Amino acid sequence: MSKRTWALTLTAVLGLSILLTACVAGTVPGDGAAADTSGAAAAVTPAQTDGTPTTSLGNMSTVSTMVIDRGLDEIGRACIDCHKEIQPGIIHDWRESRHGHVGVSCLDCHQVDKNSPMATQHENLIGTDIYMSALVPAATCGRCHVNEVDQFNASGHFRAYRQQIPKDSLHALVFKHEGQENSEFGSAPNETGCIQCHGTEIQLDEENRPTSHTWPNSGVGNVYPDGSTGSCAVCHTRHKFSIAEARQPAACASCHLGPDHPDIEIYENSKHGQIYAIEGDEWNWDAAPDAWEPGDYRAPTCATCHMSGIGELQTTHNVSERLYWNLWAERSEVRNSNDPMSPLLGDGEAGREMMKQVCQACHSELHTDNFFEQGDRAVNLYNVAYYDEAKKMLDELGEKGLLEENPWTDDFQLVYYHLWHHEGRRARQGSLMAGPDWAHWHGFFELQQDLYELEDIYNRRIETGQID
Amino acid sequence: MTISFRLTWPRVLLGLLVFAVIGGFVFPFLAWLVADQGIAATSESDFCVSCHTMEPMEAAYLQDVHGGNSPYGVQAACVDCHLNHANSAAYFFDKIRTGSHDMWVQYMTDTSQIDWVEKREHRESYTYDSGCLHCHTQLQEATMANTKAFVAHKPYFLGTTERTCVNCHPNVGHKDLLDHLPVEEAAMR
Repeated sequence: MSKRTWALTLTAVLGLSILLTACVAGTVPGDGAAADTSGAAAAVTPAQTDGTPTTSLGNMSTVSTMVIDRGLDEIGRACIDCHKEIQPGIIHDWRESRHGHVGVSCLDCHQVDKNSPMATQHENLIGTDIYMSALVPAATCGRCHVNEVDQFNASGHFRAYRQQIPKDSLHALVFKHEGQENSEFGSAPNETGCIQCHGTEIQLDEENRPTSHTWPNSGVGNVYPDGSTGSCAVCHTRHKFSIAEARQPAACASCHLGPDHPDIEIYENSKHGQIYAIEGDEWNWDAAPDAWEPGDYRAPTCATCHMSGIGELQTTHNVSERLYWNLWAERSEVRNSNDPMSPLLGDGEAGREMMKQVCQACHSELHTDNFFEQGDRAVNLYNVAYYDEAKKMLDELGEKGLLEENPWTDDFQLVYYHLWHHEGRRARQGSLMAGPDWAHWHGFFELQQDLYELEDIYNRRIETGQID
Repeated sequence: MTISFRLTWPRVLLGLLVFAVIGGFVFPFLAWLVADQGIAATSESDFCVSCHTMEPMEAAYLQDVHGGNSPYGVQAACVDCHLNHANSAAYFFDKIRTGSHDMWVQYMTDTSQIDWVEKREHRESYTYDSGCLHCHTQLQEATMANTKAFVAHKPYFLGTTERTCVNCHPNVGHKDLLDHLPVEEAAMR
């Protein structure tokens, strides 16, 4: 049968059944045309018939018919039954997740103790013994994912927010300058910028719900009202919590980007990134933790080098573990501390050896060693030829009272800031993650320009004894 | 009339036998009886809560599954969780140590100064996994059958974590304890 015949038959059958239904129901006896009109009218929502506009888009849930019993208790099922229509996106994610597979329900993560500072109750929970919170700190995940959270707690990600607490110059930048000390809106730069990557100390309103000044955010270092630190959902986003997702460079890129630490741009600039861009969609992203090896991928992503259990290496959620230098500080030093609050967290020598194990799953020893020798020379050059020289001038101008009080209007301090915080990091990180354009044109080229500019301003101020 | 007592070998042997029976069986039996009765008498939760300091803990405990608030008719006693069950010697030593400590604190110090809320931060120092596992003897096998519990307890049984039971089950044994502790301390949280 041709398509046309099919269509005609289908229309005829449909038309007949509508007519029949209408006749049986007695709506419009015997009149086919009128029965059609009635059918159309019935499809219009009552609100529209009234002429009252409605903002509801209707039930768009693709999971609205889902009824799940397996592994859930009565309350656990009730969450899903309601939220599958209110936030079908959440339930859709969950049913695709490993949590959904093993019966980890909403309650397992969102239920809190009655005495928890974050405890709230839905109207349908009032009178029960069940308390919930929208907030799920890493500590909750750690009840099952023990080792992962312990490793996170020992990593640099742990201090993402905590390190900002004592930094007065940073608070001045964000609130005084960027927020213009506006009493009503001045917190906006912090809320829409800083806390979305670094996290913040989450505050609660009188009903124990997080305030808009502190939440929502995607900050990895959030400090929660129960005192725990960290958010896992930053890299493994809600409510799928996918290992495959966190292995993709995009998982890191929402924070590790931009002029001051263009890590995703460096990666894209690298040969690793080139291969990923061309064929990454064909790789196996789903292998079990510690079992993801070369062959599953043809080039590493951020997670491969910094976290994955390649060869004999063990998987780690301590992203500082395989690092030799601190490449974000004003001056790079070799890591030598066990304190997660220290910028030098890690054991540099041991970290380098671990990183080399990742490299050597694909590269020869000579290739690996020579690569790091190139990168280390770049870091050392930055330290002695740029940072040390710039710092010497800064200190001398400071001693002689030749620096403005507001660093953000002072040419010298502005260029100095860019030298270490932007250009200097680009040169160092570009060199050690094989992004030549960032090492050179956005890095060392800019650095020499910065240095000459600083020398120029310095000489003028020393000669005239004045800030011009 | 004098009673002559001559030390003869049969008499010596009889004496030794009586001594051996008393020293080897009767005395140890009496000692065991006293110790066992003593331990039993001081192992009931009623004994622990006879000190008024323990009233909040008791109130919260009675509302908890471990305190008998379940349909199963089982109740764990204080000592089941708060004494080391690694072996009899450890149990006995710990009983003496904590018992005498608590006695001293109760009668010789001002117990209203104790910050119970703060003590909850190092809960692993006064609860014992050996106690938990003394009752939950089949936990390892049981969690194998329950996928989510399996993942959660695997690092524990593999020994790849230093966490103890109460690190992940922080409120076990005393339901909503903060509701029962003195008000000013609860407000500190």
